[in-house]
Amino acid sequence: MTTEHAVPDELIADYLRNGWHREDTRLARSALDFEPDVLLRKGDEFLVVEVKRSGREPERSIAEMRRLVERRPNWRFAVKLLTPQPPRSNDEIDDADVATRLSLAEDLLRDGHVAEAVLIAFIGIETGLRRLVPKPFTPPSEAALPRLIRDAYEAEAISDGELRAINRSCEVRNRIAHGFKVDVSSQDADAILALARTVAGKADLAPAGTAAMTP
Amino acid sequence: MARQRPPIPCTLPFTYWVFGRPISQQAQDGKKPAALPRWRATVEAALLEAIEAASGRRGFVPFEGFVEVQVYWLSLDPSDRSQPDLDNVLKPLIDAFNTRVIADDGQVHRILAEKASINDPPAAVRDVMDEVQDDPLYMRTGEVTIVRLLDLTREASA
Repeated sequence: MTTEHAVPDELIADYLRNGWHREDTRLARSALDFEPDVLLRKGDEFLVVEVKRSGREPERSIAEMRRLVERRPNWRFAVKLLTPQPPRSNDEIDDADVATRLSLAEDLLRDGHVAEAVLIAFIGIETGLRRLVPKPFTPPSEAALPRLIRDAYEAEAISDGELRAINRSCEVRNRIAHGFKVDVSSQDADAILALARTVAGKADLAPAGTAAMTP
Repeated sequence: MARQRPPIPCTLPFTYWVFGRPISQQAQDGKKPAALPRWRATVEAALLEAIEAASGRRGFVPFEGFVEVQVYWLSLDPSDRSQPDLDNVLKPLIDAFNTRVIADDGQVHRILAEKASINDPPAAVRDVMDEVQDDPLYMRTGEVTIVRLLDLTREASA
């Protein structure tokens, strides 16, 4: 069965009012090569209703399901959409992952891989900010980084000094990430790593570090 | 090199559709929204694709009579207050026709615009809904605007 959710009654209420009756979807499995979300019947007519959540790709395309259904005489196909799943606030945030990555950044820095250390450390900053931004603000998984930084500041989750330090770190990180030559010292990288530990620590994602505010 | 075949006369009705949330012409501060150029490009790309399909990749000699434009904006929640006003999304959808399907948008003498649920589309667009739904963007965006151009000169001469 392709349904990963209960089918809301209102989506098929019109059909039921118009004389369609629900049938066991398993009846269609052998005929269609897939088990539909809803199978309706009126006399000798069948109607397959696929109920899909917007924003996701179904395992099998709508066009293919329609073809499989409508190749059979007296079978029709309809599709209904549900609103996208609201992002869960902790979808992308794994406490253990953040702590591990910050340790990895530390190792990289110790081995002289300064730019790589900055990129990895920044995961701690971004993930921490996502956790720190309260729910009424931008949904965490949708927020672009500048918006996330602004939201965190407006929510008073970060201080003036942290805001300035994060913005400076962000510039460094962007230049590295986009392939520009960046003259970043190990002291700068160390400061960014400390900032990452502070932000992640505030968000309970990693043991808090001592932030240096001038990366 | 294959010789390009000449464009064919445009016959109406002609329909195209564009996926995604339409962008308002009017931002709250009175300035044009930054996303508007991108939306215009999306609309034009959708229209060009429909013209290619309808003309067998020959393009149209623009229709020169009076026309009616019908706009059906289908979304999951048409009552969502965060959506732009319907009247503010029309211009890019209509402007795109210029020189491609009609000679000039001065030929538009009637506009019908409607917001509706994507799960209960108006009868007027049910003839294209299978094709709309079969496009992977339908699932991805959950929002589509169907634009139809009709010949008003026939109505006037009837």
